[in-house]
Amino acid sequence: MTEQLDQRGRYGLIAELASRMEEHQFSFGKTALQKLVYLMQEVHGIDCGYEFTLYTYGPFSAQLLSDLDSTAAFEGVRVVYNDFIRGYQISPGPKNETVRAYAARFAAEHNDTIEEVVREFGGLSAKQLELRATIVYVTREAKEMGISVTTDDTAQMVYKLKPHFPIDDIKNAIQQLRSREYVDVH
Amino acid sequence: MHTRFEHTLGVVHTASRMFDEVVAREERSLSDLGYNPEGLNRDRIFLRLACLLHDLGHAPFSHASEELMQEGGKRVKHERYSGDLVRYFLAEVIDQHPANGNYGFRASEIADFIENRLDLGNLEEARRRRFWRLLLDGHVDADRSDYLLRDSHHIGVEYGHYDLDRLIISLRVATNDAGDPVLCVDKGGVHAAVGVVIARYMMFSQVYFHHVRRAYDYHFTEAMKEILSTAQAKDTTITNKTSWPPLGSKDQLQKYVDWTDWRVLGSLQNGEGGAHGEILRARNHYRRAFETIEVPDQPAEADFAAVKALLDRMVTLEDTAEKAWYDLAGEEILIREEDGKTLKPLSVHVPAIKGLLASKKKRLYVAARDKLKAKELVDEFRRKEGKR
Repeated sequence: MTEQLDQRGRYGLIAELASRMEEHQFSFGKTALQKLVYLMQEVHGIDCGYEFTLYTYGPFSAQLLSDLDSTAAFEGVRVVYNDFIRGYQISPGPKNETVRAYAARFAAEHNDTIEEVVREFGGLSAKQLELRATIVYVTREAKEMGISVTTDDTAQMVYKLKPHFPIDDIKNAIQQLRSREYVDVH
Repeated sequence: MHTRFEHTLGVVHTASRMFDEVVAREERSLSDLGYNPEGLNRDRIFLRLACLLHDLGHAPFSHASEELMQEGGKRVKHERYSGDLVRYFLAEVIDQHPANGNYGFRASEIADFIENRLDLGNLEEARRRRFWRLLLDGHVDADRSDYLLRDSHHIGVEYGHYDLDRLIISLRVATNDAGDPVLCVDKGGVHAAVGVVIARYMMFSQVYFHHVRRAYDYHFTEAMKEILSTAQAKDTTITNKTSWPPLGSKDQLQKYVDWTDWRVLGSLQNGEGGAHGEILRARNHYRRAFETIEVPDQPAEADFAAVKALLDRMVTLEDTAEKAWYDLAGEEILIREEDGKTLKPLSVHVPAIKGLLASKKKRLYVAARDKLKAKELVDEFRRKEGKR
């Protein structure tokens, strides 16, 4: 079992994700960072050292946001507000390679998983990511409480939390996650 | 000296004021989001109850001993204890209170709200209340709004002062991209919001993470471990002897509740706190020998490692004051623009705010007797490195 990332390792992971997102030419914002790390941790069981709670935009870790600031202070990433998209954009900073080295062993060990999460989810919009992360969160909560859920149950639960998503979109997202065995629904 | 009960009443009062202002100023927006007067009245009572009970789970010496709260081998926060205390000890009082016939609240709902847990059986309520939870635990919430002012008042410092009245009348509702209601600040209240951020920064850097206070937090935690391990040595129901009694049953929670401030102070006075208890009694706390800048960069980290190696066995404590004071509860404070819809982070309006990063300051402490020796070594290191 892998050791949990230490503080500098967490900065390294953020720098690593910024680099890979740029490689794939995906837009990388604060919401995407939250959701990608959440999915890596919860779906793939990689302990990145974060604790997530359900916040306005779905699962959220204040520690992760704080680490992003520190990674920027280390110049591992650049975080710039873009008035056009009304959000922050994260890109590799001038010392990206140096900071990535802090998580070199972790990144090497989990290379395939990190790549899979980036490829699978990195290209999705913040809204689409929020929906998927919320689905994962709800199914995890249900499992923790010993409740077995179907696709319809899950869709109804997510719809109650996020009524602005059409129910069909929710179901499609559940199917997508289910086909990859990312969620445990019947 | 002030008590947590006094703070709790302050949170109830401030949350009520915030709630009332938001409702009065955002009647139409809230109506569009499905909130009607009857529902809002229920939400207000529910929020007040949650505020009243949110800190119930604090142990003696509050945050200093929070480190000793565990569940299933993982550290938990005091809200988890608050939640279980509400579930196990207040269910009857709340569920069967005559006045509750008007509302039908269940203690478990309040516990879930405090702990930010999803009530899967009642998700519609959970969703509408999720918005009001921001008044208890958000970027401009009643909890922090109260403790900054109250702690400043009682400690006798000015750092935590800001314009609460202006902040409250500036609170607004907007919807985010996903259509969820978010709490924000009207553009006219930008500088009231800046005031809160700076007050939080100042209180964290000058009070909550003061180097002496951090040393005492450590001594208290270690002394408490000693007291608990002795007191719980023969208790076969408690596995982790140096932690507070575990969650999960009324019996264990009763044991937790029995650890009152008086009992802990008595144990310390009786010399049951071990070496760290003695340090507390003699006020002979560890001394700061070296610290980094607030957000250490690579050279600062390298210096820290070098000094740590230099002081070697003299180091008694390595402390990281890792706490965000700005993005504390999530996203930045959002400012609603004049069009009444567009939301922008506060730091876009006032870029200086960006400089107030979460503190990652690291400190090295030595025993009081080694203070001068450590200072000489650190001074010598600075001279050699050409650093002041």
